[in-house]
Amino acid sequence: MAAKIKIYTTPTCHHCIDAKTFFKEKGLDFENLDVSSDEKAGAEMVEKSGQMGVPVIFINDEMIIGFDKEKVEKLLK
Amino acid sequence: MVEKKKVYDVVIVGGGPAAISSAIYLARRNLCVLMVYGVLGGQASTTADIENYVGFKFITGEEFTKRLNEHLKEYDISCQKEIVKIVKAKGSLFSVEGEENNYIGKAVIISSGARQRKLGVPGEAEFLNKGVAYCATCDAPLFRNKEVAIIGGGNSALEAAIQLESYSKKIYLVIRGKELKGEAVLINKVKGFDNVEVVPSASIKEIKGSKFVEKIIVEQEGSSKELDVQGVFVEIGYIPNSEIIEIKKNERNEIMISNKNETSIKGVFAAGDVTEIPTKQIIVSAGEGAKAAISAADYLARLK
Repeated sequence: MAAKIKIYTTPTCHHCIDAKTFFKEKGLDFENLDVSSDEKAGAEMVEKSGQMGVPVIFINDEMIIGFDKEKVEKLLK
Repeated sequence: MVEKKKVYDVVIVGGGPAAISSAIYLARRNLCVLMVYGVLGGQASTTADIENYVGFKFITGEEFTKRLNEHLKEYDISCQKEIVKIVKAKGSLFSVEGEENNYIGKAVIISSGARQRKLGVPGEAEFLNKGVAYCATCDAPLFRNKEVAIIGGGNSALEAAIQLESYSKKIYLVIRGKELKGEAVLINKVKGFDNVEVVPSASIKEIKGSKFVEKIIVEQEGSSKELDVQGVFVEIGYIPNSEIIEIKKNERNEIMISNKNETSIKGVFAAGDVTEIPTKQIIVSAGEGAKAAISAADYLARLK
């Protein structure tokens, strides 16, 4: 079964762009929550991650703060 | 395609406007170019609004970066996203050593840009991403209805204030001098905001909080005061990314260049914010990149 991927981003952060490009190149579907326009998603992200930096990535229920490529790859296996 | 054993005519270090401009100028001379970069678009990519690049009345940094990339892709230019650690001479060639691979060039253009200077006060590292931020364009939306302090009074600080204005309840601009410094257009815009308060002749001493930032301690004309803020945006200038090469630099560690962008090492050219040019602007960097490319091409032509 394909992993459920959810990513909290803003349109201008590099690591968000890198992460989205990474998923796109792998042909993986993901849900992008743009916290610059979605206030509720922003509050949810801070609450879940305990910090305010983007991106925050969820692969199934595992949380990754920042675009840690190695960890993302490991969780996708 | 990036080939590791290949000898490139020019290896460009960096991915901002200077680097991309160099790459395009060199490719148009049919030279074999590799660009090794960390962030495509460099600092321009996180600039919110660009209103002073001729030909563009208004463009966002994000859109500008897309256009740079599209222009880059028009040509046969090899691009590698990788942080460069060291650049050094290797016989008559140059070795550009990245985190994973080494690249060889007959000439090198250093346009590695600059990074933001840190405050160096207690709490800064501890509260990173917990209220302490270095990119208002990226992080402003997370400070909705919050009180924030921007440290610095130059163009970058003013731009941060413009980014935060629509989100934050209150913005303190903590500045060292008595007046804001920067473009009159930006100063006037910021002065027109109701939620901005300038804290003049002040310096930040400490960032405090528990889970997130709660307040900062500021020293103003000899007395200490507290500002209740949940966010601290650091905009106190830049440090050149010049550590990658042993070369003649000025007292600010900026690479010294001739008016043809030559450095103290023959075959190594430099352009943009990593150099001693006093004007750090996107349009200037793009122009400097073009100049460096032409000088590098001339250098290569003489080698033959």
